[in-house]
Amino acid sequence: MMRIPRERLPGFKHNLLGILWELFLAGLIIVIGAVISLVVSFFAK
Amino acid sequence: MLLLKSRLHDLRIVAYYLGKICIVVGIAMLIPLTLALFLSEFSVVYDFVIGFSVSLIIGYTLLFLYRTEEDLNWMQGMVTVAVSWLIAAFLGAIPLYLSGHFACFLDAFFEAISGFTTTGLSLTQDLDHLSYGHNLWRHLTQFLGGQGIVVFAISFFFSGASGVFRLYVGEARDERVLPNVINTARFIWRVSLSFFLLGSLMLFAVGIIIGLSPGQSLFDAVTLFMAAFDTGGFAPHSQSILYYHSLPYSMALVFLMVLGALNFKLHYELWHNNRGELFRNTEIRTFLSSVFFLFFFMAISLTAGGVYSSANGLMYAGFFQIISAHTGTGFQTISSLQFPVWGDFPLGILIIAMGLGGGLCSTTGGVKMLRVSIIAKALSQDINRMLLPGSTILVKKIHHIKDLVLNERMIRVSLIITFCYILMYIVGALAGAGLGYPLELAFFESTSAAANVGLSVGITSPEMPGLLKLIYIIQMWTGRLEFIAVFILFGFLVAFIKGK
Amino acid sequence: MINYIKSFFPALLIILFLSSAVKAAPTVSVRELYANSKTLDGQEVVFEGEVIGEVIQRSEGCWINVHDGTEAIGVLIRPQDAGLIEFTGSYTCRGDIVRVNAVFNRACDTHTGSMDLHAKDLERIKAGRKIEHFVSPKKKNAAVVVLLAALITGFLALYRKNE
Repeated sequence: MMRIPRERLPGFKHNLLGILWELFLAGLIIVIGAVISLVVSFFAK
Repeated sequence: MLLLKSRLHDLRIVAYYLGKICIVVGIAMLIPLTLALFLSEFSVVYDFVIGFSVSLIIGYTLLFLYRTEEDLNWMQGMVTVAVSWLIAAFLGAIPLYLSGHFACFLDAFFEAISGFTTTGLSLTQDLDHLSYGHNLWRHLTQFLGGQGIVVFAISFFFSGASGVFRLYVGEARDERVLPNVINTARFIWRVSLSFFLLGSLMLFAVGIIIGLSPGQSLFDAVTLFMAAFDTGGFAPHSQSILYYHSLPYSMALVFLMVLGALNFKLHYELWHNNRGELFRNTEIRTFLSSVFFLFFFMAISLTAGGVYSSANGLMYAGFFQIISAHTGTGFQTISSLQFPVWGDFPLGILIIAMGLGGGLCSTTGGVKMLRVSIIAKALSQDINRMLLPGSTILVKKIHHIKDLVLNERMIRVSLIITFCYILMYIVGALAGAGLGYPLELAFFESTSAAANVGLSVGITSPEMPGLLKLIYIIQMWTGRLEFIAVFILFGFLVAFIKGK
Repeated sequence: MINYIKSFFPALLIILFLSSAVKAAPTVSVRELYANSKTLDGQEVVFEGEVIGEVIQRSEGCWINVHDGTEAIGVLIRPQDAGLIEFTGSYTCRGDIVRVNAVFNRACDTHTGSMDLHAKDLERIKAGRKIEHFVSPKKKNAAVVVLLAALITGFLALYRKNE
């Protein structure tokens, strides 16, 4: 089996920060949805 | 004669690598088998023993007959990938068919390919009485298929060789996350398993809070994680996400769907502390804009039509469905019976969202955000060219991990793939209409299958004509592989038959 | 006179029976609820089906999902009615068949905004039961045979690899 050169994979701390940034992005999308829902339903009434 | 011999030679190499894929699928079946044993679902244990054994018989027979040290060339790699998805679905269908919850083997095969391609259209009958073992297997096919069956095999069962890269590309992943494709495959698995632990834990906790029992919450958390992160859309209950009657639970799933729709290269950059990529990346910008506008217009239409009047309803049904459609997941917080009641405009919005898709090199389907962005920029470039003086040299760039200059080849490839997707959506729609379904509903269902989404207006059912089941199977398979591998397979078969 | 009175009471009973049948709410299916959601919105209906999944307890009551044979719908029941349910549908059980008198909501603002039923009462009309899953001898034999065949082919393939 050919030796695979070890490439730099991110460490644990960076992994965690990355996950938090991604959760932030997903949270932002939910906030966009919530704002639109509230605004549209407010004007519908 | 010489050419036919070389074609046979190609077949032998393809057969050898297919053997490895069969063994991988068989080994994966040990997971639901173990669960079934643990829960004393003994009939289910036998179903998976049969599935596992048949996979190994086929796999080892191919390895025994066609042993080779030769590496795969491009054509062989593409053919291997195209056929391996069909073989995996065939083998995956065996335990499902033995469960007794499918009217015929075609339905079980449909379910398996819907699983592996992370579509999520389901033909399971009496899902609420399906065993935990079989239900886990349905969701596991989405986890394996989402990561890529070939990627899974590459990570753990293939030795380093350039042919492996050709398999990787054939599986519609033309983005190398890391220079070495085996490390790329392992990184994809590292991200997936990390999120598996965190995501399942989060869903488990939310499930307990909303009133599920610990056992049910754990099972649902694991299965729904796999379906959400891999944007598959199978659910352990017949009502999909409606079962939970909970806005917080559905929003927890939105988190996972969005994460699953991100390009794995983006995961790498963010996990490498390159947070600037978060807002410079063209795919994220396109996705955010698309979700904003599509949901905005959908919300107005739903309130104007008197379908929903509260923010609750708009979030739970409208927003959730937009995200489910756009990420290609296919979870439903409304019944299939309710889609036609929504009206034509919201359905049209959903069709657009499904058709566009999520990130390239992610688990989603559809045209994908990078291509949409390239085409939009190219259009803007052409308009600008016409408005500016003739001597002006216009260079348009997009930012995707790094700045890329828009060139003719990039635009051409994006347009061709986009055209292929749209053509497939239309052909499937016409087939559905030809078989008696209303055109708009047929267009919705066809787009859902071809873009590997899984939302259904009710056309997908055991009573659906067999021909339509076959058409959707071909659409799901072709859509997942983004055409190239499938075209090469047909080209290979035609050449083989003609002897040229 | 007495004969008139004797025939009057049965007639009265028949009239009362017929009028109560006319006043009773219709039994509906999920498909009918979705198809006529606007006309049935806010109306009291009778709904029957198998309880599937679990009884989900919340602060506002208990959610059950009831399947009428083709589709399921969520029903919010009173906490005191949850105790009437013994079996819920799963791999190992057929759930209790229940009948509820409930108000149908086309877009329930109180909860998630989706279609649901708010039950005023619940009646268990048929008890559920455990399901026994027997393994047929054919399946057992097939499993043993293919497993042996898999071991043999595996052994042969590995033997050839080592050669």
